[in-house]
Amino acid sequence: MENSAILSIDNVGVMFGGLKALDGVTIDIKKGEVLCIIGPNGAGKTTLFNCITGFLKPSSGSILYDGSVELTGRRPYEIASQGIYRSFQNLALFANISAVENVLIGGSKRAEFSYGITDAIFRTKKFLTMESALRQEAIGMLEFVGIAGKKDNKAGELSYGERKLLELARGLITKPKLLLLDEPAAGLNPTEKTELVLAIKKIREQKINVVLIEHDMRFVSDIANWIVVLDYGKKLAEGLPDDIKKNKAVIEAYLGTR
Amino acid sequence: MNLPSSIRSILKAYILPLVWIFAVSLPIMGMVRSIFAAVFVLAGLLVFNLFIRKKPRVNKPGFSWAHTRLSSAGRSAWIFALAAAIILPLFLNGYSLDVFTSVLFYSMLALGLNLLVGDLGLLNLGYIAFYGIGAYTYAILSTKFGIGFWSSMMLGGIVASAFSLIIAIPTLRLKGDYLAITTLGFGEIIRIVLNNWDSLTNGPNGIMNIPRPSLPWIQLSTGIRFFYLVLCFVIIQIYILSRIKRSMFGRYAVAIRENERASEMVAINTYKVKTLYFMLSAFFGGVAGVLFASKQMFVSPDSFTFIESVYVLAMVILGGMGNIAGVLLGAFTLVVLPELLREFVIYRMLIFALLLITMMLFKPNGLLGKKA
Repeated sequence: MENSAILSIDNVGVMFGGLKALDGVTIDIKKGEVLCIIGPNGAGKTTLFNCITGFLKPSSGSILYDGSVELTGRRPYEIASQGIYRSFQNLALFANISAVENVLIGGSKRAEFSYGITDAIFRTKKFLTMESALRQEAIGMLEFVGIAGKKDNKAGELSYGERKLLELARGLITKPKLLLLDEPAAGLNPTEKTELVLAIKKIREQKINVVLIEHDMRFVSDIANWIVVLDYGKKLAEGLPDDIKKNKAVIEAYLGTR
Repeated sequence: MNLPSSIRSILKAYILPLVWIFAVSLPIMGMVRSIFAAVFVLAGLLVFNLFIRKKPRVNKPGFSWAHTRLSSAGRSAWIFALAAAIILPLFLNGYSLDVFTSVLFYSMLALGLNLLVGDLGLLNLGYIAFYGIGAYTYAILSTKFGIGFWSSMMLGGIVASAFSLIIAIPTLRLKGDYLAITTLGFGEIIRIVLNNWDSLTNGPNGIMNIPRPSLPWIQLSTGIRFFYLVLCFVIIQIYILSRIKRSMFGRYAVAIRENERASEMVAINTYKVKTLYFMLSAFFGGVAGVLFASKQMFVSPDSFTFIESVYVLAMVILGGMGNIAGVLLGAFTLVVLPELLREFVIYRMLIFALLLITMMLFKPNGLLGKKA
């Protein structure tokens, strides 16, 4: 059973001054499942993502990736190069460059597209082949999320929903094994939400593990196999979507009492 | 007093600047000229408000790297500029040739600084220190150790790169104003060390009798040959920089400028990229310094003051950050313009400043615009 976890979060705690943002959280994310983290505002969901991706160093606990790689204490780019991609709640795009360039940058670090600085200066055949292969793939990713028509628009000029999809495309081109999405559906209209659900289902078919933070319960029950509820930095409950909906403690903390 | 808003806005837009210009110029230029100045400014404001400001802004499609080819207009502009740079010096007198050689030096510096300011978005206010380090490296190596120009060329760049590590490593986490202050301090430290380390740099007196460059079969000592030598270096630099810019490595820099968190998330080692850019930028500064020392045959700390850093920075911003052609135009403008204005003697700097302000009003992103 040990090996089937893509990510083992073990007893992770984070202190902000005197505030316990996370308090002994333990979550096992199994390979092939779509896990969803829910919880009221300030429950520590994004803090947990920050710990996993190296933007925050937990004050206690460990995060083990793929059964062997310890993630705590590493820089974000090291963690990303392990095959973990994360989207941001308030978007983190390269706003002044075109959509396709945004995706290109995502793929630049993949080994099969790499070339040396001399290749770039002398425009060798390798450089030209790599660049056009990378560009093809980037356009393919934009087609996958359905915004290929906007490829030459600046990222900052796209609509909110398109920007979210662009961030997803930029992540997919990195060939992640684990995709962390921070409120991907927030701010999307119903049609865009349906498209996103379809996209995430397609992503899961490619054996990419998905972890989501989300508020929209209908959206969550559509795609999640497993739900973890956080409240005040602690794990309140976990289980199948239907069980969580009936869980009394969760209803009180998160959905509110009637 | 309750004026209608239209009158108030006219008052604000035209009358106030008019009175202000008149008041400022009256003590310097006298009554008649001040009236002329005020009328001139009024005309300028009218033209600006009526014809220029109301133009809608057009959003260009995002810039794309390896696959964009120069437009035919862009290509002919480059060829024309190159042809002018090769042919024109043949007809110039010594003074003009000196001015144009100086344009080339500043082009090298502005292009080097542009790597940091334009591409990475990091403000470096001590860039001239690397120019100084390059110049002193050649001065010391040639006068004390007899090392030749061509080997010093590489060494000057390498020493400047090594020094850039001193500033890059502790400041990698800094951005914006904080980085600017630190680099400013670094620039001043280098100048003060050069000024006070008598045994090595000969202090404020500087180092004299620096040899001119030569090739086994050609002497490069005449003005025009030296001009062509520097021109070769500028061309090589433009070539390397434009190729780097249109590759993965240029993309990393732009990614970091646009969003550092996102860059880390796509596995870009931002510290490494920044350090490499710092070193590359310093390398070009150092090479320019070696050339400068060999042209002057004399170096002293006075050539590497803070104001020179600001001057180079102004070239980058004026021409258009991140835009190689723009930066070259910026260097050209800021070197040639003050020379052209020389006959106006005391008004020179005033006119210069006014022209700069006007340019920034009309072209807030630089003469040729920013480029990603």
